[in-house]
Amino acid sequence: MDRSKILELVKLYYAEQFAQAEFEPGKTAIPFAGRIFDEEELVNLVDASLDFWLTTGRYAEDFEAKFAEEMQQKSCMLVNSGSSANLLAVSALTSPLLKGNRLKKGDEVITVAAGFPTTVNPIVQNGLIPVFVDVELNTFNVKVSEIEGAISDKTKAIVLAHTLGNPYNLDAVKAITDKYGLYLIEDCCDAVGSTYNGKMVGTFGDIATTSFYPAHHITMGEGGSVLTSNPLLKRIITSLRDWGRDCYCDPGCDNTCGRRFKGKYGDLPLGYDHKYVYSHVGYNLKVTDMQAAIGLAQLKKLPRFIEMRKENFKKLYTGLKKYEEYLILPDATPNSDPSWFGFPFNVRENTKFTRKDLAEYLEANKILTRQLFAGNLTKQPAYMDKEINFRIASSLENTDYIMRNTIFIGVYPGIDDVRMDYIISVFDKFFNNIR
Amino acid sequence: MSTISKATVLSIKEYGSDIREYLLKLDKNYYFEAGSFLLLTLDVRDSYSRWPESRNFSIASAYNKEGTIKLIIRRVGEYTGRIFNELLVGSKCVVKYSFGDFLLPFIDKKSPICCIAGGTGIAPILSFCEQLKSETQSERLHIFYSFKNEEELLGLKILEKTVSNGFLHLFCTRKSMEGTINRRIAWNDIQDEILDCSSSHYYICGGEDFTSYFKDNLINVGAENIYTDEW
Repeated sequence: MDRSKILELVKLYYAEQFAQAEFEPGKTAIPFAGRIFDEEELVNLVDASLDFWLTTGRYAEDFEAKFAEEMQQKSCMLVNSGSSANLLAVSALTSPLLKGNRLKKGDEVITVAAGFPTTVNPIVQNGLIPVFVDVELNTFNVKVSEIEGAISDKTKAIVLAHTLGNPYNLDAVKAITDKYGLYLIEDCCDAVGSTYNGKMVGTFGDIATTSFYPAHHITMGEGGSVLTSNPLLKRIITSLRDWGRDCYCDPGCDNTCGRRFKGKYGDLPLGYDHKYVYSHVGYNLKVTDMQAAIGLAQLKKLPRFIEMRKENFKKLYTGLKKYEEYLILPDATPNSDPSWFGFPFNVRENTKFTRKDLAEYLEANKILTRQLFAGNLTKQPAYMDKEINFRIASSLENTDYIMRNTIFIGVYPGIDDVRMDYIISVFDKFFNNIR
Repeated sequence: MSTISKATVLSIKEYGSDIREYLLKLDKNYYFEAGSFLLLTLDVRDSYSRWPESRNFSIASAYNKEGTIKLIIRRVGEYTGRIFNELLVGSKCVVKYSFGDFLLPFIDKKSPICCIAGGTGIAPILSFCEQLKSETQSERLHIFYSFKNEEELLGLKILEKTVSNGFLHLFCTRKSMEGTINRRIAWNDIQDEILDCSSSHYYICGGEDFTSYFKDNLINVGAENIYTDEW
């Protein structure tokens, strides 16, 4: 059977199955994020499944090359989630291939507690010590003035996310990592397309990570990537992702190096099959080609998605500016151009209403809200465990404020002008009621 | 993951009867590190299936936006014989790139880079020359290169243009030739260069005996950064 006939039918199926329902104010939910796709994603998905290659294949090959270019990096390694990407990024810094520059158990890594747990968890999972510093209320990013005070003789790296797409002060952070010889990992899971000084985020540090979960800027269902321009880190990350193996054959290939049965590795006998030589204690965190196929279609849409997120952010900012008496609105970090993941704001602590009141009102009106993920991670049950070692370098006053008062709502491309006008009208009603 | 691309032969340069320099144009041109190698197959396919029989070759040029790459191929067996017969100007092959650990230091941009090459082992070193020249770092390069005869002297123009005076050492093993030393490279030649072996980066590319000879000697004197590419 001709594959093109099947793919034509898929297009028809898309048109029938995924026609957009009409928006009904107050009845149709406006999520904080969602997947936006058309027939191309479905066609690619079916096309990849008909290859029945299943593991990483031609679509992954194309995606990695094109996404690396998009992100202004030399290499991209696809993985099965943004969290896996962070796990690999931190684990890579512990590789023996880095010799004297590797991170060892007990070394400290500076980070923040206001964010998503899997930015920090890999630090703990690798036997390293997270050292928490406070954040700013208006950018939701690290207070750079507190970083140097947190540095000890055990500090070896800084791992920070660009919170909800807002880049942190990379000039300041980079100056510190250069001064003290620290690694920098940029968690760009929420910040694909954000720039700082005109350069893509992720290009300032040693390693960057992204997520392709459905809530993110582009999706492949489950998915993520690790990006670097350092060829040694690329080698380490690929090895850790692919079971820890030393060999660099792609799936379905043997003897790429031409020396498969010629090497001497560890205490293995001479000529032991290089395909089964392991230079790292690794994982298997690869994606399937079906996921990459969806991602490739999404990648074409990314520039438009980024513009729409920026436009929606501006509209919300303009619509809510009049309520600054009650809300601390988000500021883009100077010299940055964020590709916003969401629209975060703090409810100022006041006598008329709380964050809970506003969140419940928005949710009742079908505008879905989120808090800033873990709030203050050190107060989460997982981090109350006495077995988890971390250090709080300074007061986390703002982190606690964010834990109590931050909400974010969506700016994703599924929010059109009609929905945006509705969102602002709901805020208007809320504030009219409390005055 | 590597990139699979069709490639068209733009030109062929003969170096004697058994060595050729192919200039290929890639359909899909993505960044690769100088010193990388690729797989070349004559089996031009459209579908994604198990990778067919192929041979690997060092890329003898650095990445460029035009998407051209150079390969130096010696006819040594049946498959390279097929390449010589079938891969003519205008014809196509498929390459899969890029692989390898024989790469320039990423962090250290100052220490000397000492390359020791035998025969077609000069191929990845020529890509280093292009890369370091584009980064205005070619003054770091020290090259020791041995070849059989004048016909098989590869990339002389690039080497002379790139490597600083006194740092290019040519050894012609089978003939006496002006400007070259008529013997194999010896360990003493490397020692006489007087480089700080703890900070210098040593790249050795050649046959197994060739690489192990220099590698063992370098280890004995405490060299820490040794990279080998052997066949």
